[in-house]
Amino acid sequence: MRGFFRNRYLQNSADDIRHFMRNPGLMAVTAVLLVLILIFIVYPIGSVLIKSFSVSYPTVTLRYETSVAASADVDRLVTHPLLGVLKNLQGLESARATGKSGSFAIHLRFQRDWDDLKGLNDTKRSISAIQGQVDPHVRKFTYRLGKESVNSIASYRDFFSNSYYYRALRNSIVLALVSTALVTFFAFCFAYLGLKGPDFLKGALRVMGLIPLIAPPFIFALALILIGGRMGIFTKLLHLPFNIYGWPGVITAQVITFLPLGYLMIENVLRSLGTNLEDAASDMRASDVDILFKITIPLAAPGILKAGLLVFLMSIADFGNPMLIGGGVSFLATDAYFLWMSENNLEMAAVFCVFLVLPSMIMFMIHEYILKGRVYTTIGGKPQQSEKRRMSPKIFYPMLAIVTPLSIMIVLCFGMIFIGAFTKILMVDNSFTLEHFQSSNGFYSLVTSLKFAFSAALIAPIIGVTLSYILVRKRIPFKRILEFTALLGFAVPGTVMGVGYIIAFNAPPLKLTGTFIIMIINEAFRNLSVSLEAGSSKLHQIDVAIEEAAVDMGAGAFATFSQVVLPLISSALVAGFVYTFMVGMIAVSAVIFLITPGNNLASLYILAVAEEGFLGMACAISIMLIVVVAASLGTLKVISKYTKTEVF
Amino acid sequence: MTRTTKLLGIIFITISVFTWLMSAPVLAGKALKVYTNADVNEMEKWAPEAEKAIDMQIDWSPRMSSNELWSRVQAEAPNFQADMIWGFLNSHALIGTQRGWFIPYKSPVWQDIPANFKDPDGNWYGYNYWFSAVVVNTKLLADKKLPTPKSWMDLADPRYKGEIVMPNPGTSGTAFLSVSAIMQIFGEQKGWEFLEALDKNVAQYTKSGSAPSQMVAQGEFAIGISWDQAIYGRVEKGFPIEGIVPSEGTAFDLESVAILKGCKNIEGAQKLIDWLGSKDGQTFIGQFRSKVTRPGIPGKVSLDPNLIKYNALWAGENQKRIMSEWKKRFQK
Repeated sequence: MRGFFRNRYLQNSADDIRHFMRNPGLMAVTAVLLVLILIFIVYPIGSVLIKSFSVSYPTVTLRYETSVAASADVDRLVTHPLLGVLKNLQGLESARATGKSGSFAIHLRFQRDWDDLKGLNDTKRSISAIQGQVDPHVRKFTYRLGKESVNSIASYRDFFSNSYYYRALRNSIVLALVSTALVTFFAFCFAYLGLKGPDFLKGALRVMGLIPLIAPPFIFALALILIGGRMGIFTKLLHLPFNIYGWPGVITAQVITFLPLGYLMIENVLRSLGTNLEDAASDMRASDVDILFKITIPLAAPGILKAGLLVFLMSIADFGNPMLIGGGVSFLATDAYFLWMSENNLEMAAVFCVFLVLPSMIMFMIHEYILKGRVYTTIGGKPQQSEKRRMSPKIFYPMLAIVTPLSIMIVLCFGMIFIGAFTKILMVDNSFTLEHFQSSNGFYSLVTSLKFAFSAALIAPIIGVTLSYILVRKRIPFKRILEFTALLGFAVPGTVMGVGYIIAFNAPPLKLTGTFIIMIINEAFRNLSVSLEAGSSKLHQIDVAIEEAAVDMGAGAFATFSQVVLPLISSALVAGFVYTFMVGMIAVSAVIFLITPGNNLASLYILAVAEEGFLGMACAISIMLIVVVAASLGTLKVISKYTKTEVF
Repeated sequence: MTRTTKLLGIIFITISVFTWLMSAPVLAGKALKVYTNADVNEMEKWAPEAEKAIDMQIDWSPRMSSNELWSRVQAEAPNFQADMIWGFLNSHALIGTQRGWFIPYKSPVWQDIPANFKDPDGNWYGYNYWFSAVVVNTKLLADKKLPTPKSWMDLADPRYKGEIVMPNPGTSGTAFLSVSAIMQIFGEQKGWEFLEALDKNVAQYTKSGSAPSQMVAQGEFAIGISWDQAIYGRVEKGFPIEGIVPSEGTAFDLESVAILKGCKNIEGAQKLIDWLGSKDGQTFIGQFRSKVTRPGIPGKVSLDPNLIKYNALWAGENQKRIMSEWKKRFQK
């Protein structure tokens, strides 16, 4: 049996390959896309993996020439005395002597985090101590600093043997699990109440559930600091003995930030369930509570799980919230950044990235390959005609009690940002001021963000939609692999792409770090998959017959694509553009590794000033950012509605 | 395709191309790219003034604390992304010179500035110096009935538990200066003992050396370790804070500038160095920093703080080792 399926798969592949080979245009385009994806997605991620398995030692190489003829004499007169005094050097790992016939070298390897300049100076000092003894025989000494990279799992060993490393992994996973549980819980209540509850609540709930979307992801951390930080209004007014930094702050910030994602997905699921089964159960005298727990939830379970997995992914990749309000608690994304920023320890940062990728990959695989298509929808042939039932008070009031505090919190957060932006220093000098809006650098960073997001948004849809056309309509071999790698850029946390780009593009032939271009490319390829999905969904709505008709009338493949298909799916291009633009404005976790003088982004600038305690300025720039994002989101909704394209 | 869609499409494309063109880097003359460890609010005033003096646009790095900056420079070597460094620790300037990362420049303007403030070959120049100090919020201390600390050792007093905010020596030059000063004052072993005791009192480690001043000024903590101007600048603004130089002495750092190898704008870099050493430049900087290096130009602070004989080279050579150890012990 197994052989049967395998042969079929291979046979199909063989057919695909044959068809592919006959079509040079298709081959060219696919080749270009493949190369781009390989370079800008696979190569960086691969480099991270390789880097995590390498360890580098600082080395000092001492070369010398001697006028002594016999090598045995050289050993006795020069090499051994040198080695004798060098092997006592501080921080030395190993010393090795090589060379012959006049030209020799001693290769000194120092401990991993030893300062190589200190090693060099210590070496010079040691040698000058026995200078007199070896001088007559040696013509000259030259020194060279170097780095030796060795393949080893030493970094992993370090990771597991030091608590300040592995606790980042533990904390990140715990955080993700807690956030996921809370977000799905709240999102379900919001969605259920909105869908089945009284009509007057519908609008309010929808707004509450979705409005966090317009705020850059770490804005709520900022707001929470204003509310519950050491100088927060609640902390001060209520004289609370604790503050919100650390776990409470990060969890709360994440729950608010990811609520819209959960809400959208769960509402979608609940809506498509239809009420048939629930009505039937009700007719059979089941109580509302029973219906909720025995029918609605089990039916919606796969969809809820799907939402949960996505929230898990986002939580583990979250950089801004732990950075602002984490209060020093170790998390994978932020620790990886500090490992690179303040210790220049790329190897350990790579290890952290591997541990960031693993849970994400697992979750993503489950999401894409197991849950896809398993979402239960009730598809009836006839339109459903049922009266909207009144929700039982036993469900209504508890849900209301759950939903209200969170809604108040959301409103409070937005309110605090506004207040903070217009107040000199909150709780210290509450006078009204516009000075926070006058930061020239803040404004400049906003302009840079606009340029950045705009450029990335131009590239991503073009590549994404072209790719979607090839994947949906054309026959190419190993489609799955191409699709998978394109989605990889999205599934992998931003930190990994950031570190990967630093490792991959820091040396010729592709030395691109420090340029504006590399930031744009990074952002574009990270968001390919959204344009891909938009294009795919739109293509599925279009009948193949239209393209076949074009071909029948003599249009070539390219003409068909550009004159027939492209206009029809243009809304996908636009949707991809707006989405990538929106995400680009609030990008943080990947680009923080790539910014350089003159290329500061608004989102990162907010983090920087907030960290220095200039909360008012942070709020002001945040408001400007919110305005831009809200405008883009509005545009996206209008396009979605107008052209019926699904982007989410 | 309907007419409306076509029209929309054309408008969209036109706007896109137009914006794209407008956003292309069109510079009237080249920009000078600098890395700096100066505070954001300092650079926002310094850069425009400097731009006027050298008649060139200055692109300055998003704010990096001293060790972050140095880490970045080390990572990029020898292909630096910036033209020069305007403001970094002297320890690092010494190390960079040894590694041959700078382009030497003998500035004529600097001739009459004392030799101990500049590299003999012109690899780096020190244009002002600052020292680390303790900042306290007098109001908070009074409210909590705590005595004012007067020395480093005082900070280890368990009475101050949870009241101290200090920068992280891993990222901040201020903190690293303080830590290496402590090592040099007390010797390494006693130094580590002191740091252990201090750590128990520290509520939070911040990334930058200035943040503690802001936080103590805002009343979030009673005591902070920071640097002189961050403190005195806020005293001037009217915050209820006071700067204290510990009785055992404190270390000072010579804020340095250097031109990085591979600099694409030598002319601009040299002009900036000239300006920073000139009477005008020094007077301007003197409005912001405690002490400038040109004789006769006053800085903001006229008192002579108790400065130890700080060995910057030792600090630079041992930084990695000490930081590793610090992380092992105190990284939460």
